[in-house]
Amino acid sequence: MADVNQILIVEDNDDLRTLLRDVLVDAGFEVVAVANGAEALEIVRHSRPSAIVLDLMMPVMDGPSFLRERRRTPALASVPVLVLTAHPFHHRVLDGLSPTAVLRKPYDVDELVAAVQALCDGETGRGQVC
Amino acid sequence: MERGPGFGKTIVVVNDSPELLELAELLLTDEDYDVKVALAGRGALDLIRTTRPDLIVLDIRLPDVSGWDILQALKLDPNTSSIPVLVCSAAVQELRSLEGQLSRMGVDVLIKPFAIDTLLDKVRILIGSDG
Repeated sequence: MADVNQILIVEDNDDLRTLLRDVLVDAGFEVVAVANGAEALEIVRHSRPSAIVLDLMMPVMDGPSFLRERRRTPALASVPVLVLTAHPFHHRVLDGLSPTAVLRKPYDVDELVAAVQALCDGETGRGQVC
Repeated sequence: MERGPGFGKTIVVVNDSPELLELAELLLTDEDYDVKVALAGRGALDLIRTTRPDLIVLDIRLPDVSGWDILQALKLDPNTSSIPVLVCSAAVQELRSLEGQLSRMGVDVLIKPFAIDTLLDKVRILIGSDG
């Protein structure tokens, strides 16, 4: 049996976090969902997900802070990250932070699943690559 | 008595301006639409889920929750993903940069300030009551 890809969702909006988890579980991924970057760091101390789906605007530790921490942490630096954002100038916000791909809101279920699968497959061709 | 184009159709309007909500409710009710309003983002999703409207008129700049996050939740939820949405915003550049993406998802845009006739025309077209 093939290994199941494990996805870590980092999203502070309760509705979106639940919906993202449901969509990715339905698509066959194993999912852990947390509400901010600090909780995500705690998770990755103990396990290494196949990919991380990251919101940018969050309390406690936002997306850019998490990405900065990711770059400083060798075990985390190689985990691909898909940033989900509505920010019209996300290129400026993400400058130098090297997420693997960016998906601009609003996206549909198929785009999300395809982008996450591409990350797990080691591709960076789906979504908008930074 | 003749029924208006909105008879039997429900619209949820989400906006942080009480004045705009009052005006929208007045205008749309006059066309016989059944109008429900949400003054802020929190609670809007619950109202939409319980109402199952024929159209959502959604302001993007809300004080508590991003309108984009509300739209995103609507599009990820199989119970609401097919409901047409009319997005209202004054952020012309932002809306234009998303035009193709929004159109593909069944979302139309209304750039503020807008004429009343433009609002009513877009509502009729999106809700399928223009004939």
